[in-house]
Amino acid sequence: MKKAIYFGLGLFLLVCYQNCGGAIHSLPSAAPSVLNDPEQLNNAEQVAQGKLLYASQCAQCHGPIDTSSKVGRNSNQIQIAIANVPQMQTMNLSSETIAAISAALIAEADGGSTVVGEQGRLTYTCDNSIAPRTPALQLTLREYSSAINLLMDDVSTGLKNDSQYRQLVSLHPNDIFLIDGEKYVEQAQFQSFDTVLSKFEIAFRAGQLVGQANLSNYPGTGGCLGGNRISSSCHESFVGTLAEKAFRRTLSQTEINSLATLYWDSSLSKADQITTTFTGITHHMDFLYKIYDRGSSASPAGNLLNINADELAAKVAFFITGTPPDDTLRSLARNGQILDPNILSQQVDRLLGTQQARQNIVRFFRESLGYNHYDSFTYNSGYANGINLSGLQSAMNNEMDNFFETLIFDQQATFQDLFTSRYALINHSGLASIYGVQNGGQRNLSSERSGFLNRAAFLTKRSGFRASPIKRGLNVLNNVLCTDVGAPPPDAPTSLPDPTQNLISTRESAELNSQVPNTSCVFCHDRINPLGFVFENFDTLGRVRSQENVYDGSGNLISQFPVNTQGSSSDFHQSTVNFTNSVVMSRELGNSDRAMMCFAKHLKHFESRTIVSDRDNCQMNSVLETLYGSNNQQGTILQAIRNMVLSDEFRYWNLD
Amino acid sequence: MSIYFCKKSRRQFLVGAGKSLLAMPLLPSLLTSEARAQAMNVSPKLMVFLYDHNNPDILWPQPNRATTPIGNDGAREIALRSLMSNGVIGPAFTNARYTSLINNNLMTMVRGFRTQTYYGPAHGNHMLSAGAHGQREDNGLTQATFDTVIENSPSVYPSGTPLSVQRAIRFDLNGGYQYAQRVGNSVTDASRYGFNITNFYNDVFSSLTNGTTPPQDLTNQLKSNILNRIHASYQSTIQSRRISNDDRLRLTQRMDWYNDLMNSFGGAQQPTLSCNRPANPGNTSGDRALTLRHYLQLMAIAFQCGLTRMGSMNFDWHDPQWVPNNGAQGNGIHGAIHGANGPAIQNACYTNMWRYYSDMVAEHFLAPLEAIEGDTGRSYLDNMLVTFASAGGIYQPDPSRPDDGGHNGYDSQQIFMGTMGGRVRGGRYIALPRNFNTPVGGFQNADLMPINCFAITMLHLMGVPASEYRVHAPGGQGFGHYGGDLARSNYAMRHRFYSPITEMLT
Repeated sequence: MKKAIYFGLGLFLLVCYQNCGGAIHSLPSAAPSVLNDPEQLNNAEQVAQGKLLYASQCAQCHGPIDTSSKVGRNSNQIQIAIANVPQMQTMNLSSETIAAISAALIAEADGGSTVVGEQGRLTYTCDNSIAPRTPALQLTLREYSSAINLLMDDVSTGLKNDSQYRQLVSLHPNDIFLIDGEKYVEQAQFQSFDTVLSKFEIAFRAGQLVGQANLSNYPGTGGCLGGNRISSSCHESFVGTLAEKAFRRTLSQTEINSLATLYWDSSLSKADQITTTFTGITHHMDFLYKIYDRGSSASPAGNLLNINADELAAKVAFFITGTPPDDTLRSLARNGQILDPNILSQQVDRLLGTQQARQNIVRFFRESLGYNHYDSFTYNSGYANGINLSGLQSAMNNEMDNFFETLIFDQQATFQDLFTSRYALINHSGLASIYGVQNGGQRNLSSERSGFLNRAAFLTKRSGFRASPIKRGLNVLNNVLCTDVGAPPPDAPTSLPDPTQNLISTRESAELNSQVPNTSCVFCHDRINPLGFVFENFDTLGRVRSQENVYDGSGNLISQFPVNTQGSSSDFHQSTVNFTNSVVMSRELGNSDRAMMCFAKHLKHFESRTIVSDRDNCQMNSVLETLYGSNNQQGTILQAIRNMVLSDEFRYWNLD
Repeated sequence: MSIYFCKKSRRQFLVGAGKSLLAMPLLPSLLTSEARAQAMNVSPKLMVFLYDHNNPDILWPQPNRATTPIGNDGAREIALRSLMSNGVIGPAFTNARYTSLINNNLMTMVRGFRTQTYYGPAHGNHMLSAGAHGQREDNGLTQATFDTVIENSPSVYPSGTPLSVQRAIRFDLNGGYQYAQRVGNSVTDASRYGFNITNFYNDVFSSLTNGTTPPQDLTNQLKSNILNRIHASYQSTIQSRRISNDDRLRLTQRMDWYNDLMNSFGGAQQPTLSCNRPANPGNTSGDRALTLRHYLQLMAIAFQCGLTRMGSMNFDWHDPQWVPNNGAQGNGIHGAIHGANGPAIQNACYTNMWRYYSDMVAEHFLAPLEAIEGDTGRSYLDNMLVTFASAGGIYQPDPSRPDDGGHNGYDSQQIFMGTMGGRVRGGRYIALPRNFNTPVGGFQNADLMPINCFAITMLHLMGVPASEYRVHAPGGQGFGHYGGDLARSNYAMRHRFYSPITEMLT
């Protein structure tokens, strides 16, 4: 049986790197000898050379390095691939060349090159002469719905509760989704016919509601909308008020006239006219997109612009609250005061005190850590053993939402606090049972629950009887360390063998089936599995256990094994770290350079809504500097957010 | 940098996929189907939107862009779509429906006519009005117009045609003498409909006895109307924004989807045609825009239900201060469109008029006609011809007054939508022969294609044989009369008199 498993594994390992789908042609017989003395190269130089080598040796099949699925590969993985993948067997690369390519791939996985900073900690390589890219971005769904709701609120705060309107909003495709199971695609840049149609239907319904409402008190129109008919001058007043709020900036009279003309149709009834104008304005690119191109030139070539006051107000508001600028921000934008760093800093603090900011930070953590995503949530009642499963999944998510919100805003949490805090708000009997605490209210959980990684939402990554150390480990590696080891081969098994066939523990089974020496699997799973093994003292519902129970398909207990929570990783710092259990590992992560770099990357991604590149390194370093803190005292997450807004890079619009 | 967007629009994908993937294995059956569709006896239908006055050159493609020779007289052509910039053919046709029509080879522009076929200025020389300014035959009588010919044609309306069928529907809100036509040996101001749309409604739809349909749900029409304006908003700003080329591509694709959406709403509003009597729109209280809209909508139904085969509408090109954005000219609008306030205002006035009317026609007339006609496999629009018929020329002797300050008829341009069932070469820009071999008096004596040939082409496409209109011309040569300068024996286009314009036809 084991031979059969090994044979099967061997077969899929052979195709592990066959993503290019065809034979490699015209490969040089040997790599260019650009690395005469690689020992002399420092990390940055090696990465630079590695990028060149990747372009000449690998890009033909794997594409550009910044989009390659092979980022994060180490030298051993590459050597195994060359030995096993038929298309690669003709390659003749020196060990130095492979090392350089690996350095570039690993650096790319970090979001760009890394260097050791003055404090002896890792930072991103920063070139101040390269501005971050700032593409035109669509509003996220949260931003879009809050923006259009605000426009409706000017008519009546009850309009947004219309059932048809709410249903249309709920049917809008998600902001973020996966493609091929591995790559997040931002809707901020992705567009499809479906999203265009959906937004049109939402706006049209909103326009109908506005058109049918009593508009006699609509601001800026002097009551002219109170009658049964609408004149062109009254329509122009309506456009002026609506468009300035929708576009989040002051409009010239010429612009207002132009818009009014575009949407004026004297053959329409008043209601249809208002519907037409409202729908049109809320489809204008100044409403649907964040385009900050109205500022002055910031570079001789004219391709870099300083964003202006209106744009800065909008950008800050969307980033911190996920909503358009409020009246205070708009007022400070109109008189230009928002451009003053001190005023801006005050406004950041004010915004961080709003309810919208608290909601937005929850969204940030959900997006970054993915704790609200489950394979499925189905458990045998006998296995649950009295745990109330009804509503448990939502309760787990809500617990984490409250955890992050409370720590960030009420406890002024540092990065370390997120990995060590035992705070919890428990409002579900099932969750209380899992944690062994009384239901209802704030609790200080037992030490096994220190930090967010030891909570049920993170531990419940697979339904059924058997926990998955691989999924748990991959979750940490991907979301906490931002390390992408790539997708498994298409025909790789998606689960470990049936435990009733080989009565061994899950950990032993994972080691036996994915950490076989001299296979390509081992080089990923050696990094993944230990990060999951540390959670072996939790079952699939997140309950603490000291031994692993093995059940048959009917839920009958057939064997028990003691759990082993030992682990180690080289992905936290510049050296290998050993840990005895998940609490120790979590504490290590709370002070891990790479984990904090990952957090900075998540935050930058949340701000820019685009794929983070090495052009963003300087701005991410401003976050890192805060997180690292000084004198062994980390800065708070709120300070990191503030510093991101106050960074120079936040104020550019880059046409490149 | 990664760009996340599809290279093809949904429409392009559907068209491409449908044609290349589905059609290839089914080619024989497809050919059969097309042949059947072509052979079907679909009644030709013609709608003419008339306007007099001249036409500023700045609004239109230039004839020198047409480079492929066609015919034997020096005409040249080019695919109309290749002349589009930012998705439109020019400032007069910014409605996305025209973009779609051009891309689907359902729109044609033909330039280079001479609308003065006898004496006098072009004012009133349009093809359906002959009386006002001297379109006379040698005997001094006003000549017939081609809608009069169609109205009386036994080929178009054979015996047994129900009396309820309206043989020629004319519509005009402008008064004056725009429909002066010869009837027998006298000139009369042809009957047409005006603000009282109920008269038109009763005449055209009273024959529909199977009940009154509920009021039409105009939601999709409103959506289509809005999408057209949204499309225009992107069109007008996309190039002016300081954004990357990647962003510009994304926004352009978004525009394309708005276009697709607009078409989907335009098509969706046409259910299986029941030809139930539509609702009477009632009194429009003198509201020009509302009246035009209702008239266009009802005319589309009239064509679809076989209640007429010939319609015309005379646009207000004379005092259009009520057209949006022209209001600033007030009562001086007529002078303004003749250049009294300078070429900038003049061009702006023309652009405003064109956009307003072309939008109105697109939304309220062309959109419903994009429904498929029976089992022909073609839309009503494809099976008929809708014409923007101009009486004026584009000739500009005085750059400061782009329309010559008057009504010359040189280098006139006609615009078509539809192909009359595939009989017109759609999707083309055709520059007719521009013969200056005998430039006596300059351009005004250029030997251009007479507008009569255009009228004959319309008659030809409507299935009117020459025998039915010879009677109106001296010597029996054919429709119309060629007097004045055209009577020269060395007029270069003389050999084309009395014939359809073959360059336009398949």
